[in-house]
Amino acid sequence: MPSMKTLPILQDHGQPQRLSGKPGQRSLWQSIQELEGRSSGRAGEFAAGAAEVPPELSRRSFLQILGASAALAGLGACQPPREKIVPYVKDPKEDRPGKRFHYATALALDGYATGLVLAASDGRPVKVEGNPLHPTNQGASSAWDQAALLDLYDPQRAKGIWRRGQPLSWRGFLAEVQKLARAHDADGGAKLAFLVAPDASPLLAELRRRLSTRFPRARFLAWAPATADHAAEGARIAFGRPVDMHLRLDPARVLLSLDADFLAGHGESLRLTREFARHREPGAEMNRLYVAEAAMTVTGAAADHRLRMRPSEVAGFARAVAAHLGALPGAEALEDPARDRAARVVAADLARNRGRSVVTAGERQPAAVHALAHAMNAALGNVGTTVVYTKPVLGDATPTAAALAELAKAIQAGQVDTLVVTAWNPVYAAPAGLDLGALLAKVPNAIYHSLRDDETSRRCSWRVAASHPFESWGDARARDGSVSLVQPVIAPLYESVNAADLFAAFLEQGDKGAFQHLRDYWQARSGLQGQAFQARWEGWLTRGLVPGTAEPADGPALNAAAVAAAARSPAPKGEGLELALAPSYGVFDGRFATNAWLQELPDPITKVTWDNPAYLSEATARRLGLADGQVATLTLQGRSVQAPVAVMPGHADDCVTLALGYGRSDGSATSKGVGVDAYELRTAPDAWFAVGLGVAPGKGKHKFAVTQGHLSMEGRPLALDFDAQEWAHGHGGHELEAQRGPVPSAQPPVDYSKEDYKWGMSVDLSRCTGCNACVVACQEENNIPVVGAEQVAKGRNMAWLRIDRYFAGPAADPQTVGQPVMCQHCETAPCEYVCPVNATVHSPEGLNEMVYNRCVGTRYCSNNCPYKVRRFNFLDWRGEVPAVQTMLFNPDVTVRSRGVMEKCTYCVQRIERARIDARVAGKKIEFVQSACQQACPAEAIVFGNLNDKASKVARLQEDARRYDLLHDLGTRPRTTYLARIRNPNPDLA
Amino acid sequence: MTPPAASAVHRDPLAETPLILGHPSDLQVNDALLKPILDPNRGWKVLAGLAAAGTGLLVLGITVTLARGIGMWGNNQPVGWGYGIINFVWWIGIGHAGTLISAILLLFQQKWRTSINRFAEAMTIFAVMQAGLFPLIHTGRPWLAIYWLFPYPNTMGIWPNFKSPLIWDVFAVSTYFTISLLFWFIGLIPDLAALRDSATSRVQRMAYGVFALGWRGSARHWHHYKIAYLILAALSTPLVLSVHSIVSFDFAVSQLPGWHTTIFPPYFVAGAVLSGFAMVLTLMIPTRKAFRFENLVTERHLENMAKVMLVTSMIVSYGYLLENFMAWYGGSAYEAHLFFKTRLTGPYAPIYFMMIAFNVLVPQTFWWKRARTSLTWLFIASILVNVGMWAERFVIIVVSLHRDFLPSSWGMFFPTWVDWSIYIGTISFFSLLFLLFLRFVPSVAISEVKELNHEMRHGQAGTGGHA
Amino acid sequence: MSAGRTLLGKYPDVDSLFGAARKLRGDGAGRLNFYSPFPLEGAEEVLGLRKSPIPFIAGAAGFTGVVSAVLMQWWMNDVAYPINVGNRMAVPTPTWVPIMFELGVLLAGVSIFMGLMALFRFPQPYSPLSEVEAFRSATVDALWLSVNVPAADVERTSDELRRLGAVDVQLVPEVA
Repeated sequence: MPSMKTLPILQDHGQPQRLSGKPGQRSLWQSIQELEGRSSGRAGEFAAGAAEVPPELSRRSFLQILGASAALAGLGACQPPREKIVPYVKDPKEDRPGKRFHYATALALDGYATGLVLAASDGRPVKVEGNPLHPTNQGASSAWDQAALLDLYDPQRAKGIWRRGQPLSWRGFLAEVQKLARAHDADGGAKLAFLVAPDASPLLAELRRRLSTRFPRARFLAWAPATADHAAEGARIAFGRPVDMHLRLDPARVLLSLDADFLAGHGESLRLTREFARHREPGAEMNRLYVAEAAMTVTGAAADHRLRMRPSEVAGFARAVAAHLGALPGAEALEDPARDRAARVVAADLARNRGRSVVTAGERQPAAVHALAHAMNAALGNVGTTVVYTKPVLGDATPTAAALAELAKAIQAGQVDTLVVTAWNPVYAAPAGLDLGALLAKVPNAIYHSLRDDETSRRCSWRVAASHPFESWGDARARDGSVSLVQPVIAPLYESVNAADLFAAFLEQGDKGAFQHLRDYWQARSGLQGQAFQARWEGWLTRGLVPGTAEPADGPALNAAAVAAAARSPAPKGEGLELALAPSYGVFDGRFATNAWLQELPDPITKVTWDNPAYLSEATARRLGLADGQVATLTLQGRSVQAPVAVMPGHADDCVTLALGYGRSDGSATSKGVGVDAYELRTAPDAWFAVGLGVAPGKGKHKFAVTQGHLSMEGRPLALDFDAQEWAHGHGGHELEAQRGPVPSAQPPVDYSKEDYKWGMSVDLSRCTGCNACVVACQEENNIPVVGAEQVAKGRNMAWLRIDRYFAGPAADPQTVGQPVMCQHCETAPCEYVCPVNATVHSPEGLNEMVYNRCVGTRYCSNNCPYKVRRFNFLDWRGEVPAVQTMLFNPDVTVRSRGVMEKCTYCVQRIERARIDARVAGKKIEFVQSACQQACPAEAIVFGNLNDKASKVARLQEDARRYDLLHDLGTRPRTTYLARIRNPNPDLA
Repeated sequence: MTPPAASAVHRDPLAETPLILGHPSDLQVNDALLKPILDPNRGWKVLAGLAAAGTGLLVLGITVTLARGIGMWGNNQPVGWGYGIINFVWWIGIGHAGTLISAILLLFQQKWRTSINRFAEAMTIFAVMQAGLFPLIHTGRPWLAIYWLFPYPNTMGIWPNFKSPLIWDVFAVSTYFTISLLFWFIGLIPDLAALRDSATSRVQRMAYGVFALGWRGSARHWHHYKIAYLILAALSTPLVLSVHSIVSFDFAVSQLPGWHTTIFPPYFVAGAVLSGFAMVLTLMIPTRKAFRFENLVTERHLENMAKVMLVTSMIVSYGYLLENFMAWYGGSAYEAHLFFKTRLTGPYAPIYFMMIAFNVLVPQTFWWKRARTSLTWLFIASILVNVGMWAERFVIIVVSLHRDFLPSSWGMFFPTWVDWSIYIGTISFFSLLFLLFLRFVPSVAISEVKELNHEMRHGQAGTGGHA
Repeated sequence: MSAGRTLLGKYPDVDSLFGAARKLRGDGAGRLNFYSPFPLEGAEEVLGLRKSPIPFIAGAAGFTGVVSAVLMQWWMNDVAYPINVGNRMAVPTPTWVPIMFELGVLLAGVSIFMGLMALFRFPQPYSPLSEVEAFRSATVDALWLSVNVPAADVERTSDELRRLGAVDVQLVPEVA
């Protein structure tokens, strides 16, 4: 069936197929790596006409795909209409059980999309990958993207439509909404309000435009707990209008981060991490990162110089640097001489790298600091090279807490009869003092559209279950503006509605369906008709990207005077300590608190799981007489919470950092009562930090579930790092010589050179930022169970891939080095010869294989593993798995039972799939990626065939920085490391 | 009638104490030794009841473990082996005295063994039974472990890995148990016959008749019997040494600091003998009092055992010493860290020092005759030594595991109630078996005592034992 | 017990027992045997017993054990299902030793027991001897001599036994 070849399905044949000129093959992805090949370095560039699809595509075959995505629509009696399903007349030959299909889609967080590719097996998505064609993530994906799959299959998702406890059918709902809408027509929707999540979706924007034409006086308010309000405000100060600031780190040599954690959690952090990591190898190209921050962040841990200061002090530091750069009139010396010197040195370093430096301010810093950053970049001539400005991408330029206040006022005044909430859980996350819960109860028709029942749904008279993005049609924009089409990969698992359908309902077009809305909108926008559009449309779906939609750069004029004026605003003064709030690396602002993978994901710095301790520095803890794990009462402006404290090395003194998103009072067992609710202390004006915190030591000790208790390397050669200078002078080289090369042994080594494949891995500590993407990717790919806080505390965490983190130097201000550790696949594996039943043995290609169904569980292998990468199923971790969650399991990987040992397999299932496809194609495996490698935004993990001398991994294992972990044991590991190189500024030594 | 008590006998202080006090006739010996069986005393029921109750804990612990999994124990990453293996090694060690006393002392013609060997052999068998439990349950899925460890043809066509010390264990422990049992039973046959013929009730005659297999003391049988017993002894002697050497391989063969140590085999064997003799004393001192065996199990027996403990304790101490020397001399940073930092200052340091105190210092008191002859001190010391030996296994297993190569994976081990109930349960089960033994089986080798008695009466230079 | 009757004579001490036995043997009496609670030094020579086969049995069995251990380990791990286990030697002779030893001892030990059972024709809980109540003392404290005689000679031989110092003489009853 020639037509099948043009399905907008990404068929992973496991071997690259260069794009031939034949149009028939353009639109289908032969495989991910093909795109790798095309996209690397040239993100977002498209061969002319690449987006087109040849005309011979038949409508029927297209509907077949829709059929695939809407297969269960028949059941969805209470759902928005699905497209008509056309059953297969003849099964397409591609559709074999176990055959993987790949669909391009996108996932937005606070409005900014990541381009994804979902791998579906037997009609169900089983793995999330980054879309290699997508400019903002270039094939990488974050822990949050990966974990979205667990949310999809969460049996505790909201289901159905409810009004005052009564279930409504979709039609019934439409009828009710129609009534409401018509009632609001009278006064132009004066008493109609929408509280939406920050969003950049062109479709939703269009729907809102039409809504506001029908209800001119309706309120549209966008809000989310952790948004870039300050950045927008800062831009407004500096340029008089909102603009988005984009960093281009490839040309950047010196980076100054003012409390900006741009390597994690930021809308573009995947791309930034990749560009940053690319220049962490020794040489002229190597960049240097200064970070000024309080609590240690992923970015801070990656810094060459981490300038420890309270959040409120960052502004002062920024002013000083700006002054030295001449970006701010009137230099002012900082009282702390060391910091003053740092400011001079940093300024000098920046100045030496005009046009090749970057100053970026953190979203948690006040607008003035952002304005200063803009001024400095302008003064350094970075604009256009390392800094690019565009128009804001978000629909609402400033989603802000002020919106909430306004809404609250309106509700108070009884000006809101109908409120549609699509924003996430405002009752829980709203600023303290603003008792939104009580207010929502006052609204006659509060319609809450959410993926889960939570604190807010209990207060709203209407509950509308939201479809998961992987179940919905839609579109989204990345931070650079590029549009991705969001296509469903599976029909909604539960009765649910997607946002577009909800808005459409108020336009009385609810029964049209999101797909039709979307397609009509884009057809209108493309100005094409019939076949021509159809072809273009399918090209977009295939690549998950609408070309040419990135925002063009614009050059706003800097208003230096305004910046100077803003910069003069005094730093907040006050008695007592300082409280700093931060989004969690696991649960973000709390919306992922129901996601067990993310709850059990160790914090990149402190390795704490299932918790948000109140972090403070050792000195401060001592001064307050607080011991690690001791519960303390944090009081700010009369509000207080009980939180266990934990000492974080390198934390600023007189400051306490608390992560948002924990201590939920509602939601699933996964989120309820885990950690403490930091929102209790969060007020609108001091959204991120506030002075005047009282800390009273309390009774009781709390045991944190930590995956790595020991901080020091004990002087052992484990995670090695060197300064660029000493490295340049060849120091470290001989130190590494002792950590690699052959080890004398009585056992003649097995010769693998005759094999076709000799699998190996290389991990670059210089690139790794410890962002955890690989950890979740591994968990998802390999069906790794979650064990819960209690078991983690007992030391039974199951992660096959962990990121060890060591601190070196003074505890007050240490250096950090992270080291991903998975099974090293030793050629002389100590685990193997001690197994009495031959349950772990070597494959001819040198994999250290674990034979689950042979394992009797003596655990001897684990005792004898020097890397302690083996994980034992001490209990039946899963128990009865709900039917829907069984769909989550990767069918290619055994689900291990109780009493069985398990560990990293180098994703042997991927190797075997590649092998099969290669055999079918009659050639050798030319490309296979491990799950961790595929997710890694820093390209720190490289896996491949060591017998192929041309392969990247083979080259990296010859690298001067290569060394083996615990080399002197003679285990001859297949996984090798590249030593981390730091690039400190000699003037700051 | 019982023979006169030791105190009643006047003897020359220079001459060594005779092994049997007074000059009982064979009949007297016979009656004295069979009395506990033919008319038991009250206390037995009470003790047996306690032991049975404790055994309930064992059943509970094992049930929970098999139902829920090893997660009910304290084991974790990195401490993959906890109480399970500690107790295994501990019990196996205790199980060494019996065969050693019987076999080695027999070969060396140490006559004093005759009064205690039966006792010690029984203890061996019961101890090995306890030990045997642990390798089975510590996988949490014994229904696999039980047979997958044995080389039997299967559809997968896969075989055990004979490079693994655990497989050696399987063979060593099962062999040791079998041989000890045979050795014990063969030694028991003549006494069972004596029991059969001394018994008055028909039931007892029948019962013991069955186990005596028809022994009637025929010279033609004694003829084969003696040589068979001697050869079994000759086989058991190296067997005893091999078993704990192989158990020590479980550790020595691995590459973990604190395990990877060449001194282990001799030092394990010595430790085993030390704990074995300690356990014999712990059991013998009350028993001889309760059963009035004072004139058969004399102070000289106890004193000799004390001497053996002193010697083995010195060997063990040497082991400790050499371990530390090698840690320093070998120059491995990881090993040095374990021996000079983790053990001495780590969270489990108290257990390490307890081990030193009980295994090295306590036996040193046996340089003094007063210590060797004071029943109270012997009893206390024997218990302390066994606590010390348990601590030694804890130090070797848990302390070595909880802090190995990568500090990132360091962790702590805390036992759970299941760990404790299984441990206490095995002790109870052991006691129960032992009480049953005392109640229903001659706890002293009667025929041997008679032979010895005979020799002493006729002053012939007998060879001791049956040889 | 062969045809004829069995006479039992109880003797006060080993010397008289052996004396009587030597005399009877000299007179070419029937099959003699001693019964005693403990082994009697020199009984073999008095009764003229042949060397015991037990050592040979044990030796043979032990050897078999060792050889089968070698064959088993070599065949199973290196022939039937050879696997690369942690790059350890293909034919790891040193690791064979423990099982070679254990299997040798096991087979030797078991065969000794089986050998005894065979030689003794055990288990044999019942014997006509147990019909003689007094004979019970044989396992307790008395030394007995047994001799097989034709039915006709019972009287004569029992007198003979008494004359040779028997303190008690018993005739083993015939059992149907």
